[in-house]
Amino acid sequence: MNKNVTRALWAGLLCLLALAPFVVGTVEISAFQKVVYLSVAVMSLNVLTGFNGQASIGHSAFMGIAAYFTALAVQSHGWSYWAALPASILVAALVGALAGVPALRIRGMNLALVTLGLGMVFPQLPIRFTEETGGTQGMPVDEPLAAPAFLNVSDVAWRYWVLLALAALVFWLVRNFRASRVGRAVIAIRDQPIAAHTAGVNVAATKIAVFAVSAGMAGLAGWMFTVANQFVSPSDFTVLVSINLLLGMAIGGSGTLAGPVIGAVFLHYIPEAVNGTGIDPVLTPALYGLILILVVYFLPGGAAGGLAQLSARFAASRRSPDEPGQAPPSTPRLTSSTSHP
Amino acid sequence: MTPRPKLMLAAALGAAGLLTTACGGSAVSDSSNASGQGSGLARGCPDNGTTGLTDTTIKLGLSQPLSGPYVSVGGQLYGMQAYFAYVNSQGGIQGPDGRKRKVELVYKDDAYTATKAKANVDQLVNRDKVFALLGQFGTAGNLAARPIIAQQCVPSLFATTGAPELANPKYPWAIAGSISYATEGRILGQYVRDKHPNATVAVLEQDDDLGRAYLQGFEQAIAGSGVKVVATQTFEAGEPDVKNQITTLAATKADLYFNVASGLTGLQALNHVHASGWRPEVIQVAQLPVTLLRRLQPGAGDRLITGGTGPDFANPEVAAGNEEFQLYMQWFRKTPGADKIDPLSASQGWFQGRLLDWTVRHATTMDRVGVMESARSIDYTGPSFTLPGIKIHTTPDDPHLFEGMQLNRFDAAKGRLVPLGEVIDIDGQVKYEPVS
Repeated sequence: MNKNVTRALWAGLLCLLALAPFVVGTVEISAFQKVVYLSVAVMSLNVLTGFNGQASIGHSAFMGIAAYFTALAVQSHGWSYWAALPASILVAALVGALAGVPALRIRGMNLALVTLGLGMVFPQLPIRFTEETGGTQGMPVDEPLAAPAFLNVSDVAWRYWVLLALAALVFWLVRNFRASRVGRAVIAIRDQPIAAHTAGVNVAATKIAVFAVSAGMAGLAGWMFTVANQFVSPSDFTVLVSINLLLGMAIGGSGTLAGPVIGAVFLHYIPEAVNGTGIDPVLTPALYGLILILVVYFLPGGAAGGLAQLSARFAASRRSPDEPGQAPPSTPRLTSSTSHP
Repeated sequence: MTPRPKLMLAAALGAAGLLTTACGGSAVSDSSNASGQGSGLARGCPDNGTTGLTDTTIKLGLSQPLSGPYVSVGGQLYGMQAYFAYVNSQGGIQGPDGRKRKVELVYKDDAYTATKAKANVDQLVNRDKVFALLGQFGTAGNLAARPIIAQQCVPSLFATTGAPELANPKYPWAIAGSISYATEGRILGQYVRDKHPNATVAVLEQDDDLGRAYLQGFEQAIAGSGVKVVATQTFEAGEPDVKNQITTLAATKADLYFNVASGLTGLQALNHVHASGWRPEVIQVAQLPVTLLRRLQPGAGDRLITGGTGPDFANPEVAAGNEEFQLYMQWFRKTPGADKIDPLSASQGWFQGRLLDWTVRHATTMDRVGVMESARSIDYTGPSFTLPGIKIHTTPDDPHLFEGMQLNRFDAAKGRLVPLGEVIDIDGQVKYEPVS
């Protein structure tokens, strides 16, 4: 029953979002596109950190690799975006698998530092190859992902739908993956690596696979980035972006499905809101910091975790006598991104 | 049955987003790609030439860093606000239709991120409906936002970047407000060619589009002369130390050292050159302001030549003797928030405002095409922060606003720039070329 409601809600949300281009203007749809690719990016980190307990401050690099790959393939080599889609994901996943190798030996903060190196080095790469990438001034992609003519819709709306559909697919896959045997193994490695090993889980292979999958998802977000912006520059993939993704995950709630969506909404709309209030924008990072501290202190499970708790209380107080045994909605155990040993 | 609030929230957020932001036509039938009528600049433009204008106001937009690591470079906003406060106090900017319009400036923070700048420009143009952009900041931000500008035919005036790419004739709706890096390189090269016709030059170059633009201009100017580049070393922006490169360059014992480096790396390179015992004449790109040059180690700035377009306002005597600068300071001090901003870096914003004023006043028609055509035929001789002899001049085929510089010798003892010879102005000689 509960499951059906959840499904209905996700479906409703998806319908609403899918219908959005009929109601709102291009500026809002562009913002929605950003929220969509940020959701996928936060989700990619969530798979790694929230489910598997491995930290990464290098996801901006995976995004950047795929975004630049797409931009170069489309702009300089005449590929279509569709051809670049699987290739860019694959490239990001391969780099991710390599980056995952040190994760077999090191964990927690040390692993975070290794990935931090990746995140810091990446923006230098396009600058190194200025002839191909335009260097610091970035690289525009002239060709848009155009809507098929027979649909008679604007390119903006079409791109948004493409992004939304892919994001929905990713979320659906993650949901199924979490409930699968492999998914349970992944979560077991996070919570009890030794026990998981004892129970027959191949910890090493699983960890590297999760790293690759997560990087591939970040790569998808990178492809979406290029589709949405038709522009890439080193300033868009600094290590600050990785930190923002972590922030989005912590605020939204790690280890959940709704968390990345909430996190992405937060990442996009809070700076906008700050801009609107007349507070000095210099304070935006300080505001982020304050919100993060408050969230970690009062809502260790993030917004999604907090809401789930609220829902559980609500359900308990409304529990009718003929349903004495109804359990509170099942919520995955929530883990803060930095609490792993 | 217990609905899951987190999902309800997500749904509610989505719905709220839909309802609250519904304005200005739907995205699905976005017609911004549709080509309108018109010729020349107006070819393919939508019919929106007077968007952002009323009989009494003109709305301008700007996206620049107001937060993040590059916040300190964004002082121009305060200079601009000072100018618009001044001009609004006089009734506003007079247009060709005889009406005076007060300026409303809408500004947004992009934290120096290109795609954020693009999103901001999208909002400024399509939601805030600004008439034009002024002083759009940063090379990458300008390039990212260029398709929006081109599609909607919005004048992007006097953008704060020296990237040669802004002069690309394929995109006539944007015009740069700073001297192009390639032009500066060329002027420096011309000086070397004239003064040291048989010199050997060692070059340290920042390994990106900025460094390449400088070097490209420099090499064009010395081509065919006896000046010879004997060694070039590169460094990555953000590299902690350039000592190895300098050691290699010092071994050439070249007559001249061309320092295509800015900020602290630039300073460090000059100190290393001095420490190596090599005593070349130093040609320094203008990215290293006097305030930084003063921090050179004793002796390191002794034979240093650098160019500039304006008087040395860091010198109090020069500042006191310049009427325009005094007027600027008077209004700048009244600008909220300006107390934290360096008035010298913010003065660019004042001049951008001044030039916009001129451009609107001299437009043939009070619409976007009229103003853009005016910006592409500037012949400005009014008050400015530019040295006499440097033309402020554009033509439809030559959108470079400045193509002149005064070369200066750095007087390390007094910490000042001393003019060296006449202004070199190569107006009309600079053609658009992609940096390669």
